[in-house]
Amino acid sequence: MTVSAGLLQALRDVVGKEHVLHKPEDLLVYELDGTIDRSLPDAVVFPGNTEEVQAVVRACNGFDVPVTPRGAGTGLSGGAVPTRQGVVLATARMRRILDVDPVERTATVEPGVPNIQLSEIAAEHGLFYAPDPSSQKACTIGGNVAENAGGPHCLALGVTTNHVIGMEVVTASGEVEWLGSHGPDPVGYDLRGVFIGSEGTLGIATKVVVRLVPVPDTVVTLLAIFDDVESASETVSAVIGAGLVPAALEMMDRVTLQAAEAGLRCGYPPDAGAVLLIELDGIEEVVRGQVTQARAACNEHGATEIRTATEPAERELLWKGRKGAIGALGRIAPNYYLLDGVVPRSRLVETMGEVARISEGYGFPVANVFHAGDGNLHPCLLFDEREPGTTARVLEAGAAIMRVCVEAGGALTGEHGVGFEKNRFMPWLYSETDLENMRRVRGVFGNEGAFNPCKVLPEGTGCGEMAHQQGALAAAGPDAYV
Amino acid sequence: MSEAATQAPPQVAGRAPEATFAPRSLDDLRELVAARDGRTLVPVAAGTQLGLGNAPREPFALVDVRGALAGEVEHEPADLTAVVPAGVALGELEAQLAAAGQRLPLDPPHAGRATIGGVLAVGTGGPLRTRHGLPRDFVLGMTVLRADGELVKAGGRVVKNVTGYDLMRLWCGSLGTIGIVTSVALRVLPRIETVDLRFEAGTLAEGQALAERVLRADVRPEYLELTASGTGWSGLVRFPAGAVPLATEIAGADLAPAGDGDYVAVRDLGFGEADALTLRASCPTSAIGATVAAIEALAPSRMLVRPLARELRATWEEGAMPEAEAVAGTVGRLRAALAESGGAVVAERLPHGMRGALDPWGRAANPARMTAVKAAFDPDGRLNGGRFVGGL
Ligand SMILES: Cc1cc2nc3c(=O)[nH]c(=O)nc-3n(C[C@H](O)[C@H](O)[C@H](O)COP(=O)(O)OP(=O)(O)OC[C@H]3O[C@@H](n4cnc5c(N)ncnc54)[C@H](O)[C@@H]3O)c2cc1C
Repeated sequence: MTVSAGLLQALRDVVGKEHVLHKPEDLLVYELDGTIDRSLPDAVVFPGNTEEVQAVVRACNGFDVPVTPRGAGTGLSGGAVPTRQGVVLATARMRRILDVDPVERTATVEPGVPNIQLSEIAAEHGLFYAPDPSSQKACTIGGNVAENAGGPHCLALGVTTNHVIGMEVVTASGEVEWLGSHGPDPVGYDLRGVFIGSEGTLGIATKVVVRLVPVPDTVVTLLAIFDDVESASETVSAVIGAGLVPAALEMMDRVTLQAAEAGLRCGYPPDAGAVLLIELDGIEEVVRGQVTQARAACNEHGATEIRTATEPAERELLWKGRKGAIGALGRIAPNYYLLDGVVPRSRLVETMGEVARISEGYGFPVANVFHAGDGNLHPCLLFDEREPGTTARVLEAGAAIMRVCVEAGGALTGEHGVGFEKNRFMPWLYSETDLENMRRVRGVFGNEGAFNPCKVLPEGTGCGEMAHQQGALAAAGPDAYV
Repeated sequence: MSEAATQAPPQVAGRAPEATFAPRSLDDLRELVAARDGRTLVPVAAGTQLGLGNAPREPFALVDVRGALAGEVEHEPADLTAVVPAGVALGELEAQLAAAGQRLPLDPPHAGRATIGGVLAVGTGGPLRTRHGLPRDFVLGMTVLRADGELVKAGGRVVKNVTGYDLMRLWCGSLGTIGIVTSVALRVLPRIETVDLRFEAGTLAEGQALAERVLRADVRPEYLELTASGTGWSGLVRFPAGAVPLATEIAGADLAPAGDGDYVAVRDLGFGEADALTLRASCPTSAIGATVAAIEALAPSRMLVRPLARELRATWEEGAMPEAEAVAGTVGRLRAALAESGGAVVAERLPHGMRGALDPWGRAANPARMTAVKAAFDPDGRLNGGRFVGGL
């Protein structure tokens, strides 16, 4: 117990008694996010506004107790797990839409607003919020800022950092200030840019200003079926080679297709080896030509069938298998370990081969669902945690897969973050000097080590213990997809 | 390494360097930076932006980094990436990418000569930012020479990556005050067929409305520029070839083929030989009209508005300079008016005589945090000391 009676009282004084949890049975939900790691906090606090966030951070700093920010807890790298116990600061009560400005095409919201709500409120102005993590019904804009979240439709439009222009934050040291602004191009260092993707280690975003973009005029979704991942990957290269930058370019492999077919009846042929989803948008005159080019690429590389949809309901049907894929994997195995790695697009096929070899070596079936256009892989290792020793082995297999990504010239994470899951792999990519240089950013925001400890950069021991993965889907909702 | 014998070294914001160096290799450059000879070092490449910012803290030396940061571009067309030594000129890079049917849609002033390192350090875009954003939006990874002579990197070379802190964004637009960019991994794009057109927009408000219609219709112009032309405003726009028929209909103006020099003229506006004072303002859409009116009162030689990027630029030629107090007064009032919405007015070129009256940058919203950044990466102010916002 790191939270003393004194701190508990201080927290209650700030947010009110009803917004502080500290009984062990109330805390259980807050010991994990969507990953395997877990650690029980001593208290969870729900501030209602910026001033309360600031007072909570200051109180914890005063008592030398770690603070871990938390949004919806859908994170997939342990970012919201309170590795050194202490206080979890949850943004669940901060869910107000503060402003929607159709002239400037911006919205200002509190951090606990779910991602999907931004597009819902923008819709009446013919606008939407582009980054669409598959967990968008649950995950919060604050969590998206922290992870620099991406999504299936980030290929053409970019990720969170391309769409968040400013935010009010409470820094790790407890000061309130704006990074970036409501408008374009403020002068000085791009503090906004370094805060986005800092995984909740520099402070807490308390207000977020996002850019909204016009809803596309015409959207066409193509679903192409292939005998194998190689042909589908060659098609991806051909599409890019033809000069197209589709709005989305997503792939599923055989294991995923079979699970999706069994669970969702998408009408995939039983012998399908890969499915590619290609979405093109823009004005009709332009999209028409692009669809012809994309179809030609599919046909040239052995597509056995191509389905096309333009109407929202029909397009939704084509996306159904992709969106339900992770949920459907539950039919094959009780647990899954979802990885996130990136390789240069041209190394996709060989990396997939390596992933298959590793998982086979460990005896875990692997399902692959991924953002093929960006070379962002999501191998999903299927296992049963009830078999003794399995969790440790699945983590080991995951590490081996990460190693393969790095060796192919890739990176440890494309969108889920380093968190507590992968910080010990950071030296594979960065020298001691590079890591020490990154650490200086924490000093800039006054994080002396107790603010969301044990995340992003490799740390010593004393950072919580491993347990089983759970809750990812539970947190993200039943129809979430990755 | 010896001091290079150049005849008249260029001035930096009106101040003359005490020495000029031209290290030939990265090792030489490291050694020079690590030497701590008590001088401020001002890295310079093509020198297209030496008028930007405050004068450097004295004594200072110019360091021509082109020799040290030259090298081969590693372009991977299949991955849509390129790793580029920072001393490579944008024009050279463009030519290489074009040979493979690809492009880097960055076009700051003098985009042909400007080096990629300089472009990232300054961080401003050109006409193409309307569709493609700022230089920082293309950076996948970077290696930087820190003020203590250490080479440090962040990011990587894949197109989607959140591994570690995004230091690239801190480095971009930092005017080389927290490190010298030595190499950069960039995201590139396929080339597309486009058409440049010009039109008479009428009033500024009409031009803005046209821009809004075009955006809403999803025809995705690569750029859309409005320039003041005596009586009214003229427009210059680049559409994807396939969008021209619809775009023409939506624009509701007579679109004519653009002239040969039109694009370069708007791209380089404010950075010509005779341009002595150049102001760039960033402001919300709702404030563009008032900002333009305030600047028009100072009778600029030329002015351009980039409505969809919410940016404008005005320039005064040597013979047409307004009074320093009038400029300072207007800029001060604009900065105050834009502070709330996060706008900014930057003097990108400033005649020597005006430096006392006008801070080229204006005030940052959080000066203490800015100072902390500088202190974390260059505590002695060795790199470009004094030139940046708040004298950092
Ligand atoms: C089924 C499923 C699908 C997913 N699909 C995607 C996807 O397509 N793309 C993608 O990028 N991610 C995806 N994710 C991962 C996850 O949803 C994202 O990382 C999301 O951004 C996390 O948001 P959250 O609100 O749940 O944050 P949490 O998990 O609560 O926290 C994540 C991190 O953010 C920090 N944090 C939270 N709020 C704040 C704040 N206000 N200020 C500062 N730091 C804060 C926390 O400390 C933590 O480090 C998926 C997850 C699941 C379970």
